[in-house]
Amino acid sequence: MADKPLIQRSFGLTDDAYRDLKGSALACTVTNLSLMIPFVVTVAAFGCILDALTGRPLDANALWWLCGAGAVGLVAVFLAARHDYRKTYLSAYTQSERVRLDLADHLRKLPMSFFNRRGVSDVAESIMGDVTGLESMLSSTLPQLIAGCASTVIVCALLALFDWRLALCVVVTLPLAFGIVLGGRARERRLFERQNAARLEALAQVQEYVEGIKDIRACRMVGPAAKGLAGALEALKRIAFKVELAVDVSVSSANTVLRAGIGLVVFAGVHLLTGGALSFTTLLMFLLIVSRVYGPIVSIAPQLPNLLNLSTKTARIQAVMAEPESTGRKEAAVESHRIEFDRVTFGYGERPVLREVSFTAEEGQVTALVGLSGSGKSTCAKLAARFWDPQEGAVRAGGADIRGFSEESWLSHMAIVFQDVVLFDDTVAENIRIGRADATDEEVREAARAAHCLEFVERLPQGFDTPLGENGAALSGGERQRLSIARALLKDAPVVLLDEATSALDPENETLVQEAIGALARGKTVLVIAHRLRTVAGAHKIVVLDAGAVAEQGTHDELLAAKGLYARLWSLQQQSLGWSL
Amino acid sequence: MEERAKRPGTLAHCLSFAGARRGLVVASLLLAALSAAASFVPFVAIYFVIADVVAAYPDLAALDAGALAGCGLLAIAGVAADVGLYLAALLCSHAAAFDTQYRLKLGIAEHLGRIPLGHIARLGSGRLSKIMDEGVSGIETFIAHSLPDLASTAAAPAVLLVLLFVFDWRFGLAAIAAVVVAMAAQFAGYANKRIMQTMGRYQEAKERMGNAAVEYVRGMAVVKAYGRTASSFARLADAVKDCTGLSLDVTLFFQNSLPAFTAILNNAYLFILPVGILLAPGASDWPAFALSFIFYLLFVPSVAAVFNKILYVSEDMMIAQSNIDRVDAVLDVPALPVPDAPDREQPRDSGIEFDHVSFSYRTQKVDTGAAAGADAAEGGGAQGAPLALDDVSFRIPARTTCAIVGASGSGKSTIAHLIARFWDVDAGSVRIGGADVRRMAPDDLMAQMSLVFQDVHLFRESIAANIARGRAGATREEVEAAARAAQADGFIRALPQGYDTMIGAEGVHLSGGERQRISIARAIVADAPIVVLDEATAFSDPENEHLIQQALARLMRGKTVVMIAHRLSTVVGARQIIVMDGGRVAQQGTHEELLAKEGPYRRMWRRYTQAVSWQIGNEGGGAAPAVGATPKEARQHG
Repeated sequence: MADKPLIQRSFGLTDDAYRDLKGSALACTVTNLSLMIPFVVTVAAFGCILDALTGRPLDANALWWLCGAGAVGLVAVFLAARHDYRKTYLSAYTQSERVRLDLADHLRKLPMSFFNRRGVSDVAESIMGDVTGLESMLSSTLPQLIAGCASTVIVCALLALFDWRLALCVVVTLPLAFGIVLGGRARERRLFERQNAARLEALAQVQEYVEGIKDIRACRMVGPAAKGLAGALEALKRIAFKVELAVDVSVSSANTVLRAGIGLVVFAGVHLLTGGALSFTTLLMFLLIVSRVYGPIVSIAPQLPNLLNLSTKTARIQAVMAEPESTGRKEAAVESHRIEFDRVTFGYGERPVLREVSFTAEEGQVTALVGLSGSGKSTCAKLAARFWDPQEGAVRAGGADIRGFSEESWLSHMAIVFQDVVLFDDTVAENIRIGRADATDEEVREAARAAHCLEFVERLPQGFDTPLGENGAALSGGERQRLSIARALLKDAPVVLLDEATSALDPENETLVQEAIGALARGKTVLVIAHRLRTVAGAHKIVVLDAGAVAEQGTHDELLAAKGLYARLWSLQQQSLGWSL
Repeated sequence: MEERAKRPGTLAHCLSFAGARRGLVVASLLLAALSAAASFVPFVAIYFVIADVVAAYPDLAALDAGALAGCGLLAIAGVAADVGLYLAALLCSHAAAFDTQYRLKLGIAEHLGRIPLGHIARLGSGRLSKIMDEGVSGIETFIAHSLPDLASTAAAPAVLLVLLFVFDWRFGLAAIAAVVVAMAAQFAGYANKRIMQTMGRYQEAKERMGNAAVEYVRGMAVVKAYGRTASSFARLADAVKDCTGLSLDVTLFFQNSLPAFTAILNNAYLFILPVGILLAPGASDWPAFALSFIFYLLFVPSVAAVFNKILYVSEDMMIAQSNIDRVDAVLDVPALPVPDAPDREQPRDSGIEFDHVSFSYRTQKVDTGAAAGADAAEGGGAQGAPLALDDVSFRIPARTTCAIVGASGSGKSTIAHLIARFWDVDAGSVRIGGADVRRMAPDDLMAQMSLVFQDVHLFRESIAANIARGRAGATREEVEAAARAAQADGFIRALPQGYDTMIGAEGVHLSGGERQRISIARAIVADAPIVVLDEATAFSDPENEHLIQQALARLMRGKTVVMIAHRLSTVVGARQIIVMDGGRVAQQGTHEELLAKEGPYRRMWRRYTQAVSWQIGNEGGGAAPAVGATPKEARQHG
């Protein structure tokens, strides 16, 4: 990175983006320079008019020629502006499309652990918000700023040929103005950070308020009485004004200093003119140039703070792109679907969640994982699906370490029914067809029937062709669950991973979902995470987890006879079942 | 047209949001306009220089250097005034905008405390947070930045007009002509119907792309599990490409008109030059004419800078309006009517009565642009059946327990919602201790009941503070006593900071059952005479389930209890069971009474016992009903 140009480094641009940026900045510079044509023609016209002041008649012919030249100039400006418009916008849009697609393509190669570490909105924000910010900077702000500075310097260099002293007056304010902006930067950055923290806190308070509104109303702490919310908003208001004050004062001072060049030219010009060291035409030329040369820079100035923030956006994009892809390239060609946990130790952070966990799930049998919440049973399921890799020990399938398999090929052996069902903004049929892309309508219908979906699907206005809307908002919990079971049925994979999640359902739904699960599990290697002991009492093997370690394992009867943790939980559950109002 | 008359314009709307800070907004507008006027001062200074020089020309030695230096000062003063006034304008507008944002957010928060809770569920907490965050911020940006810009953009042409005509109206007309031609080149594009449609489609495509990105990431686990990453990627890629395509369409459409606008404005002198040439022969006072001629040639480029800004005004307005619409979608939801103090009723006791209550989610619909079909989230009431509750009457005497059972969509959750007045009934009335809930002050009503729901919400504060929310002024002793009663004391003390542990802090993970017990402790602190309970043991392990049940038993002691029951075993001992079916009360009585009769309850009971005895791993799962096993135990306890 160190050998890359300063601008590319400081804004974290890819080589492509940097090349495009150079092209755009060049195009903008060309436009700015083409705008000098009207300037040159105007100065020439001044010459004609001033000539006439000495008593000679006005040279109308020469002026008409100038008009003609000006018209040609107009076309040149048009062409340059068109080129720069196309160049900047087209390259910014195609560039942002490329970045989005690259990001999305990279995301699907990442291990699932990445998605568990970072929130959905966080990652999606990288694809959308950060890229949009990058896009607007690349399409206008950055190239125009570079071009504004470049053309000011070029024009002044040319003007210096006429009079270097006045040229100096025009250009000297530029570094001063930049100095002011950059000088305040360290202080502003601290303020920005504080503002950002205040903004996030206010957002968190807003979210908390909206999500907890039921409780807030029940506790009678509505509106201003919600101290946390009111305080966070008040703090945000204060810091936001401080930031605005700091930024506005520095930008305004810089602006004043920059444009004070007009006054400087008048002072110095008048001095030189009366001293006879300058012709009036040259002075007029400088007056003309100084009245417009700062325009492009001044119009960019309000964007400067955003520009300074650009590097945080590109850094986030690059952080995602730098995530290592999931390892393992082999096809998962396994001899059997016997799944073995061999002294598996694993933690999401420092603290291990699983410690030396060993058990096997025999092919074609049902193995249940039970234990208190937080005992690590869901984590076992995630490791079996390779959503995470163990830190020590290994998970094997048919004797082979699943780390060697490519993620997708191993997952192709599994049907997973998750606790929280994700549905897509598509029709019912397509949501089921996720299970197997080439399934016929008949097969989709059959899976839906076996999963007891028909009853509610047929009630929907367009049956299987009903669009479900964003994440299937119109369906109840039980309906969503049955749809996801239909998916799994359609896939018909040899390993079934089941997060038992029937407890939120009413009895009628519970029975239906249970029947659907029964159909799914038949003849498969089943690993089920059980919250209710009674549903897994018939499993071939029950593995009891306690605080991340295997406490005991065996059949229901064996475990009851052992009078250990399982027996205790079982008796607690029997008591709970009898509990009533 | 009529609709437009009803809705105030974007500007007026923003001013009404600004409320008490309206003065600051107006001050900012004036300051910005003055700054626009001051921006022309340097040109006037330049004019004076030229006038002096032309008067002396060609004898430059005769110039008064002092007077000319004064012009230089004037130019700098003009720049300083321009910038200073604009700075003042920005500070005023920001002071107003930040304050408006603050009050608007609190105002929405307060409004959310008054509207039917069901609407909040329908709008969705994600969307509401977004409106309160982005929507209000959008309005803030408009007041803070766009309004002053708007004022200076409006003032500049006015000043320009005056200036142009003060010096020589013929040149002035020529300059105006340049602006008109440039504008015509630009706005010709906006008259094109096709491109306006494309712009609309582009906005939609952008939204679709955003949704597709969220769905892509959210669905990654499922997509990977089913080996469908390629097609899922293709969907997102399509949305991205679609969006890029449309944005390129729009961009390419303006590839001629925008550069033409730029080119014409920057070459406005070409309109001045011919006029000067043609008028020159007739000029009586040649030096005066030459002065005007030169001044206009010098001055006219600055016209370009002024009009460039106009391009962004309409876009800003559109963005502001869409944000105003989003905020209004929330603020326009009518608040539940609150009776005036003299008309308020106080409950006699904690008995609950439904008197011929009918209710439909459909009549509650407010046009807020919300996605259709979201109603189903409220217990499926709106789908299929128009009435969620149809002429429902029952009475729950004070200090007794009542269980409400029924299939999902039968209306049982609606009953709980109506007791807490999340909605108002369409017909009939809900009474507590004889007082109609609509005639009670909202705070009084909430003081009557504790609501314990499945989705427990804990606030990001200490556990003690979370529990103390139950009643203002609860002491630490009361909090700890409640936690003990709710079987929560043990695990709370095991946490590194005990009761002072912050919820959501690094490393603090509470299980669903533990969170549930904290919320029960909160209800115990509140000690309200009525407990409304959504049976809430989902996803708990046996130990948690057992502890929660003990906690609930403690909470319900001596209270009027309404329980929305999902599992029939828990209702066996209730004093009264109400069986809901299709929005009507199908049956009512004790467990024994209901089992003795043929009817929906007996059918449900049979199915339930079947579910309870179901086991994974039994071949042909679910086909081995063991009716009788569990009820026996249940009765022993009931």
